[in-house]
Amino acid sequence: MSKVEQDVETEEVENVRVFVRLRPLNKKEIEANYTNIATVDLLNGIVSVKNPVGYSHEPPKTFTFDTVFDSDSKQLDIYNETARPIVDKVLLGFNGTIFAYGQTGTGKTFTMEGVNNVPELKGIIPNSFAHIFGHIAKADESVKFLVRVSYFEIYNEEIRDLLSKNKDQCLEVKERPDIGVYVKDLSAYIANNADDMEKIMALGNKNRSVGATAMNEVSSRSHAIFSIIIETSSYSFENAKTQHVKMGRLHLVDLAGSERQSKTGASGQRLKEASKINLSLSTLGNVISALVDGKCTHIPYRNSKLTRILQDSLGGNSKTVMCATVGPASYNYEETISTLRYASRVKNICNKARVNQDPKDALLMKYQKEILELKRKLEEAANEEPPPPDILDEEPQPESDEPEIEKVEDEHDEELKRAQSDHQLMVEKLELLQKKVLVGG
Amino acid sequence: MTDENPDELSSLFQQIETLILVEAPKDPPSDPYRSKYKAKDLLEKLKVYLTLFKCDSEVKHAMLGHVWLQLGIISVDTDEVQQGEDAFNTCLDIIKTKELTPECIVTCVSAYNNLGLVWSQRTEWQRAFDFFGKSEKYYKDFIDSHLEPVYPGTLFTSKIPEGKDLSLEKLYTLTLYYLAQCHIHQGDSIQSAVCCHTTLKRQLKFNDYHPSEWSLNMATLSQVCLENNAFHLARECLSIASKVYGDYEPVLSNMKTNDEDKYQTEYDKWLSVGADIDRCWAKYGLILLTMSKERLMSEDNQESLNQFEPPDKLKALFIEYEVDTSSMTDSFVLTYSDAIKVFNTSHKHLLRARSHFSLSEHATDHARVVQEISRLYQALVFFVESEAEQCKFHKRRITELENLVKQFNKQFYITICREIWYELGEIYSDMYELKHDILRKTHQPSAHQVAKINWLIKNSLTYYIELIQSFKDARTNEYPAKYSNEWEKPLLLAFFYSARLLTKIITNDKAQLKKNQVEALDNYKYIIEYCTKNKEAVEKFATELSLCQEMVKLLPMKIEKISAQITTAT
Repeated sequence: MSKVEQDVETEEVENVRVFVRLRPLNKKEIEANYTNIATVDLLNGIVSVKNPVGYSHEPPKTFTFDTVFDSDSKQLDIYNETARPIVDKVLLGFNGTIFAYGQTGTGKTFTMEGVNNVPELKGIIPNSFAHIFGHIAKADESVKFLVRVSYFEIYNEEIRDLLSKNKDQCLEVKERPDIGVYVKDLSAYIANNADDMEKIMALGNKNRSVGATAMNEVSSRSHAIFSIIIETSSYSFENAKTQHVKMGRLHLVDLAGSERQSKTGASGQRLKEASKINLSLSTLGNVISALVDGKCTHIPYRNSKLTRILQDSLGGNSKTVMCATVGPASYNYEETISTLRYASRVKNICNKARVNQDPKDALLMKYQKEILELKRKLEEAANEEPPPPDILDEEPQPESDEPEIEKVEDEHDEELKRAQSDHQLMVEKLELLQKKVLVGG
Repeated sequence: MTDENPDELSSLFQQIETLILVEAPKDPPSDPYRSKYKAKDLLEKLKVYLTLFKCDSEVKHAMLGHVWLQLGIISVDTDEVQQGEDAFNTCLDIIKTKELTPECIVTCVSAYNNLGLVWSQRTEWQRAFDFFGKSEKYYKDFIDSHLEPVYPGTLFTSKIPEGKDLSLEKLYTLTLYYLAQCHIHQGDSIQSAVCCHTTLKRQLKFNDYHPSEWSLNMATLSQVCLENNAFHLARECLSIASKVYGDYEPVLSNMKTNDEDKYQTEYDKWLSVGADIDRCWAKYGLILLTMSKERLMSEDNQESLNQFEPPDKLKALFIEYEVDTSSMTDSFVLTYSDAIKVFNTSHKHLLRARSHFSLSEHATDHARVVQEISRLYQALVFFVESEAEQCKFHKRRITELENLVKQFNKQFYITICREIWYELGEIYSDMYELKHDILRKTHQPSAHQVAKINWLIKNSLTYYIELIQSFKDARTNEYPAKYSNEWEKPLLLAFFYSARLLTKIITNDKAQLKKNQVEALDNYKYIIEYCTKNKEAVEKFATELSLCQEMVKLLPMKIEKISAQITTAT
């Protein structure tokens, strides 16, 4: 393995990273005299957006991300900085996810797919395919790889296999403790090279509910998920009989466009601060859920197909990157803000661990007492040399001698007294509370 | 066209209604607003037609107002928000001073609702809020007048809807629902909960709900109540949710004979709602037990007792619905006999939820339910007097959690595994403390007792170490420079507790004894070093950190003594 590659691998990536790419004004927009309302601060990862119809003194809205890219960014730089660490992890047997999110016309397709016949304009998807098979080609002969792909979409909360003949059949999300989340009965194809992969993806794209869309159409409700499963089996050097199998999964997710999302209500995420009002009572449940803190209470799942499928991606051991694309023109203001808001919230919708910490005040008290005891004993021991056997052991020994038992008894008495006074306090408290209960009804 | 032609008016109106209600939802994605645009054209025609009316009756104004309202709604739907807003304002101008007449009230409330929505889209919450407030006021004033509202369609078609027309009531239910959302944006979640509660109550009253969805929403609302100590209300929400849920079963069975496909979808949904209601009930029990404990342990003064009171706004809420609440208390529990009742009911709910969420198809939910079972036992333990009994309950937690965690793949379910390792470490360590207390009371501990103590310590250590190791970088085998926010404290505690446990292992082997102390010392040093590098951790860990600092001073002396003993012995 070359030195350069090692450097890339040792660089530990954060579990969820969000980057935003701002495209320049296009010719049409310049001709139509649209103003540029968005600027980026590359150094600090900040995007600022000015409200085109706001008051002149209104400060621009700012959003901070892990990385921002402006119009000068190169496709390969973007790949190296965002997707490469994820694909590396997947090749090591971890799960990784790359999300693409953005309004139609903001360069999402350019970022993800790019221009296929111009090498330096290739996007994240072809670059990651090349990366995977490049890694396989360079690997040691004793290591075997199996690469399988699946492609499905979530449209109106229904899952459809984009590679199956029977593409109208609705599939279900299931979850097993040994393999994690999976879509039941989803077809998978073996890919032998990057070309295979691109062909399979193209085939699936044809089957998507709605293809390329103009703005203002409802079609952007379809999320498409291209999953690559890489299984690696190798024989260890010392023992040729032991086979090591690793499995990594890479999800490439084309999230439903941000346009008109509030009206379709199919965002698939429980976003607490959804900026607009839900019109229909059918979403009352989401509103009530937003009132539940959920730290110690139960929040029932709602419109969660996407969330369920990607639950590994948004927490735990897997690595995730979200690529959001935005346009700079004034007429994009609302959508740009909503995309940036969504992107900046991605980190918050991750599954956080809920660790149940029982307050251990009593234990800490005990601890303090023990420290005093230990101090006392150490002082005593220092005063009488040589130390008598076992004096340092706080614990009763299986075959302890007389003084040890006495100590146990002493402690016992003390303990008993303390317990009695505790008990007395508790009884008093109970009596008091009982009175209150009766009076209060 | 200068004269009134009732038939033409009626037919035009009906065409518009069909376009909006029947055709529009069927429009293809490639042309989503086809029917709405058609309806808009017809509305324009209707508008002109009405304007040419000779007579200047109140009914004409009511009709014209309604046409402007519909135009506004379509404009907003088709992304012409400004045009929509203007239309709503024109509508309100036309019906000015006649808002509270039976002919205009429905249009009036709807127009204000829509204006509120327009301003909410612009995220101007206060203005939105004010418009919804106007809707509410007009609705209430009209209700006080005891008049019957006229359904606007009747004005055009002279058709009187069958049964009581509920348009106005449904509009007001929406107003409340929108107000609930405004309150969230204004940061008043309690007031929002009150609005949601009234919304649900009205849905029930006007029979405007789907039983599965409604009972799930009601159960979800119970969780808001729980977070605010409103146990009486939470219990009512859950009891009614369970009742409405249960009553739907025979309706579903009837559906089976008529529409097999619809039945299957509905039935699956119904089952999963049931499991969610069960989990909400279980949380009720768990939180009631936990809060009861906290209340018993709190300072005995009014101020600290107040924190166990629900906010006034939630105290007075109720739903007019006959329901049996006897299976669960809504008072804080004081004794074991009270606690065990709460425990049993909650446990029953969890077992039912667990059988719904099978391990093989709903792994995460299954795990969550089992974790909740463990926590329910944990909450009960406080009310158990004898230490031996307490240990028995802890043992059940161990059985549940150990069976569970061994089935999970660490790679895909690292979070669940870590949570369970931490909890298992804690349970073994709690049991150690209990057994140790028992041991201290016995004069001559048996070899068996000592072995048991060591066994508990070692198990606890195993889980804490598993947790700690899982955070190490797989390649460099190093601890992270910083733990994520939610893991920082548990991780430091795992180091801290492990250190303590290491010093508690009973052994006559001095070399081993020394090794354990050295390891413990390393743990304490690690914690101090971590807190030096991550200053913000100190705040969460102040007490423990000061203990670590003490131990770092004392342990080397203790180790020295043991070393001395080893040398004397040899």
